[in-house]
Amino acid sequence: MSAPISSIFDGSTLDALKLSLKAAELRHSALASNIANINTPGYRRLDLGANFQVALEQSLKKLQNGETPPPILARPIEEDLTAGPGRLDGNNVRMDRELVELMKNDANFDFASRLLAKNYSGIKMAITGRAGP
Amino acid sequence: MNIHLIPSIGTSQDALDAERTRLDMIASNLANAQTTRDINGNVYRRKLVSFESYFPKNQGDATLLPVPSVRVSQIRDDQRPLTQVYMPGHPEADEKGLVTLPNVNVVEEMVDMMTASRSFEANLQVLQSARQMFLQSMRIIQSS
Repeated sequence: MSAPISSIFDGSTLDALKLSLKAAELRHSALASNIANINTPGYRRLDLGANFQVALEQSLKKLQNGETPPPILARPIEEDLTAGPGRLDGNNVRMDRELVELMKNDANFDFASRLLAKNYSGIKMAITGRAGP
Repeated sequence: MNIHLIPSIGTSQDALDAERTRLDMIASNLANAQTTRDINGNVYRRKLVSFESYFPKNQGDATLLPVPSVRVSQIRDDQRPLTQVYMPGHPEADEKGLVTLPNVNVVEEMVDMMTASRSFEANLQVLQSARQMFLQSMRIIQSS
């Protein structure tokens, strides 16, 4: 019994990479909001939700084992409760920390997108028998 | 519906706008630090810019959650008392020889200016990072 052609795009590697990309994009929007609101009185820092991060790790592990993970229901972006009380005006965003997190997130996205690109060009090479465009 | 390929570009744009407005007001404060007569004929009062976070309508990708952006909530006069300096020969001096000058503290403005500048630069970095993400996504398409 042969699998349908589209199954070459169903690899759990691809799914794991796509999930990583999505998570990095979500995290970017949280970090962007933090840095945009760095001078807003009373603003509390946002990040990926704790439940979401746990569910994300579980999904990635499942994909590593070749299983299909359930959809993640946890809220992706929430207030970061570990971030501390902040300054006098209630704002707890620290610029140094946000920029470092931005850099880390960039690296994650870069890594996942490069691997995804490599995967797709590998599939293309398998189909066409030719490396390159 | 505003769908942007560059993630969170609306938020970064708003932030650059807001910080720029703040820098403009700081420039105005510094320029008018000695102004005894503004457009209304009063002594210049330091301008204060307040920020607030808000959720833009139709923000970005419909599948992502809305995140708060930033905007200037109001620009108001600083109500702290104006400075009075003893300058008896000054044309604006009152009967006691006191001249009322703006409540602009140059050192304060310089510190505010540094904060606004750094914040502006940080948001530029976010924008550049978002652009990188977009270009990297393009790479996935190019490779296939």
